[in-house]
Amino acid sequence: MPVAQADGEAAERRRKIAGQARALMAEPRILACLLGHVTIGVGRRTALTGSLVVASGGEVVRASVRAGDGAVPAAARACVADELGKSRFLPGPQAQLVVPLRLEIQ
Amino acid sequence: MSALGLSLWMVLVPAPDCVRAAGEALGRGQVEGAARRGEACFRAGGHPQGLLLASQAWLQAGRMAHARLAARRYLALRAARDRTARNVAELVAASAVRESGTLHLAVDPTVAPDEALTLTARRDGDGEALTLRARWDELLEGGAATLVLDPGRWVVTIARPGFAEARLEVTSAKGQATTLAADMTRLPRATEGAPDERRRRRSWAIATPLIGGAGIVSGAAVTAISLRGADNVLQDMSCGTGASAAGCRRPLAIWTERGGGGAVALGLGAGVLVAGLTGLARDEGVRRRLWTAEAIAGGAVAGAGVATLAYGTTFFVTANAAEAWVGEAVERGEVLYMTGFGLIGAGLGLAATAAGGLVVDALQHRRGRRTAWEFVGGALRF
Repeated sequence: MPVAQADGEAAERRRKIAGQARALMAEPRILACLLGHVTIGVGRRTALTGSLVVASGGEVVRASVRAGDGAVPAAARACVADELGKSRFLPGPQAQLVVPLRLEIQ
Repeated sequence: MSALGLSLWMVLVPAPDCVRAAGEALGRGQVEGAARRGEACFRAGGHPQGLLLASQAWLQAGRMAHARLAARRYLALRAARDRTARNVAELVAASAVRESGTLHLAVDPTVAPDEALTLTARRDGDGEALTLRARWDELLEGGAATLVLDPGRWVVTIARPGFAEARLEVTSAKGQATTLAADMTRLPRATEGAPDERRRRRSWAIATPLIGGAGIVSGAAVTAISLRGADNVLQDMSCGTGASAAGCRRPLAIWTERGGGGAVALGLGAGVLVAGLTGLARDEGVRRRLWTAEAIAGGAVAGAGVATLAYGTTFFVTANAAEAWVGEAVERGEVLYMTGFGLIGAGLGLAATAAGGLVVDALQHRRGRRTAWEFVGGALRF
């Protein structure tokens, strides 16, 4: 496979995985991590940044979540990372894909 | 922007100023203050986000009963459609349940769907500001009123129109479910619904005999005078075969018209009096049924009056204008004419008073319901 095509597929998969991760922020198990630390659903924007390393089968090799804009305690971030780690994402031909994340809670 | 982001933006942003202010209070650590501001924001402007913020703030404050009630109120809102926000409210409600005790309440007699029961609950040591207030219907879960109460001793009071207030004491413990039943004592009818109802009946008792009586007296007087006047004309020598227009036919027509005016006032007064007396009935259901029947009957009587009047007018005019003038025929026409007017008056009086009574009762009922809502909202006007 030409290098350019492979790069294009990886970028597309990265984009889709980032979208899947953003959608997960509405899931009760992730919201439960943040409840009590962040006021959710009231127009206050809190951002988290991080990265996911996803294997070709879609399972998470490593997930990390860092504070973005707004204070989110380390325990809550670790909980979110842990929940992301339990999720399955889009599989693809690449060995391992590193996906940068920006997750927003409003 | 993703579909989720877009939906969040549409539903959640921009937050109203009052929600932002509550959020800032929360940011400064004023947790209970933020919760109250959030609820006030919802009450003032109907902003669901205020309620959602309040539920989370109460949770942070460790006020589980308040947090759950706010979350349930949020979930009950039609405007609360955002999936994330609903998930948050459900999480708040579930978290509150885990940390509290559950109280299932039943009352005897069973609550009817349109009854406006209100409930207040206060934990020992908490101030008035922390009193929990709710309507019965918003506590219903699986057919029973359910309150989630933080651990501690609580006094729960149930207010129900027409019943003495019920007061229950309960000690709530985490994870414990308690069922309490309140036997509510019906208040004697005299004190039931009291001042407004008494004032209303007094008004009916004064107004209807006055209006109806005035109509009857003046109508009867005018009718009697008219009949006497018509009688005098009939006795006149100029009445009879070939009666003159000036000496008999015209004066007779004038007296008949006056008699018609008297009959309408007489009928109107009688109709007002009958329907007005119905307003004195204590039982609202009986009153409503009677008024409905009277309104229908009044309409029918007025209709019959119009028909009689039309017939009587034609009859009288024909008889009074006939070349061969016959006294009996003219008199019959006169009676039919007056009876028509009398029936129209009675029908209108009956129907209008009965309809008025029904409207007044309906308005009173609506005001009563609004009062119940406002009472609940002493602190929480939901």
